[in-house]
Amino acid sequence: MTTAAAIAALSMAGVFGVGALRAVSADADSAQQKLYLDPQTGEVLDAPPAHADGNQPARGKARQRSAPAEAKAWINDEGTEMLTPAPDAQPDRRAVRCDDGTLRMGHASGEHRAKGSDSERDALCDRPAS
Amino acid sequence: MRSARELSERAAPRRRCWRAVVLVVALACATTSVQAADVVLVIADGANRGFNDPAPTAPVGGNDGETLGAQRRIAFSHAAAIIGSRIDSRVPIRIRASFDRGLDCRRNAATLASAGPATFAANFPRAPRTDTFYPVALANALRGARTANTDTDIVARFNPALDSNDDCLRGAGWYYGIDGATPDGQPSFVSTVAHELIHGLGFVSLVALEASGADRAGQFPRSPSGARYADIYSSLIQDLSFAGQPLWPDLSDAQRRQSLTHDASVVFAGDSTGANGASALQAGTNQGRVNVFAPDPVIRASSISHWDTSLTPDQIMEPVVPPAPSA
Repeated sequence: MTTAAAIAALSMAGVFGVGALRAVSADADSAQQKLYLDPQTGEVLDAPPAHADGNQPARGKARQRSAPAEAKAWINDEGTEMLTPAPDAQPDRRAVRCDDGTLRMGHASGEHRAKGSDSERDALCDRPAS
Repeated sequence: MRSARELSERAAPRRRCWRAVVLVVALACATTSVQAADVVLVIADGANRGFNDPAPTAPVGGNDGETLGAQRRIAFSHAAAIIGSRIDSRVPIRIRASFDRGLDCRRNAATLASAGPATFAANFPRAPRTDTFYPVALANALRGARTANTDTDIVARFNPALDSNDDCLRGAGWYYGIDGATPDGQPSFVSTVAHELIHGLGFVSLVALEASGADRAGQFPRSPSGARYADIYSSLIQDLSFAGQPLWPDLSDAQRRQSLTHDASVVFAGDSTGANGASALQAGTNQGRVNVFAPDPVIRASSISHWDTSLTPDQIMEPVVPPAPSA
């Protein structure tokens, strides 16, 4: 069975045309030190053409919460209702090392789900491959 | 194993109006061609850390980066380019990514990564549905402009201990190759990034899987007005076991809590997804709709926000990745 790395037809588009991909250091961003990488090779490229005004990050005071302990509902300057989820509400990806040396990636359920526990490992390692 | 690059090349000539499921959720296919979206990696690591790690590294699997940080950026770029090529948005998608030492890693278990939308927006200009939360990248795409007071669309964290701690997963180490030839026993950074970015684009439910604070299991989150709004992904979840086969917003909170564990009866109701699933899947559908992961008991950080494990062939948004088959 093919590995789930497949971004298979189910969930992916069929039209090709790679958009520019840029890597920007958050620390360097304010100093306008931006690194543009070729998405295929990783080579450093000249800066792509500037985007339309509407595509630039919003200016002014940013209210976007980066990591609230709990979900936060707020209203932005346009009156749009916003919700910033709590970090622990984000899906995470777990991996366990099985006795046969393989890695299983996923989540154990119920009483087995304590992270790092033997039962978590056993539950994932005992699960038959789909 | 099929590499991401292979998949990109396979997809190229098809020129069909398919989009990432996260966009299928809400966007009508307005044109016959899909524009790629620019993806901006905003590195949140400090100097000499994470994506900026200067440790010399040998090339691996088509990744010619000469430092660990460079290889991480190249592998991330490779995955992000694949995702970005399939998304229709004129607004660049900004991903704030870091290698986070706070993610746990032990000898036999680890959190590889975690990601999600930085924020959600409801009742924004041109919102297709009222009183519905959209992940901000999708909201930006729908309105054609960046949502005010936001500068990040997706937040993603990856575990650096895999590379720095020999005891972490018994020294597995990330595989940064971009050739799809991930060795047995190593997690693929490219496929992990792709999986996490799809979550960040909106393949995620905001419904409470268990009671927490003022929320009961099955409830949607509160908006600033205090009303509870469904997210657009959850709006298209359907439970075929109830009379009338209702969509989730039409269920009571108590019914939705029950639905969380209704297994194969819980499906994704998007028409495009169903049509694509019918042609792409040999298993994992119910009445022509793709099964959502809804095991009993609920699995935190996993239930609902993944495809069911019964999908065949396996899909990147399934919650469990089986070991690679032996050559």
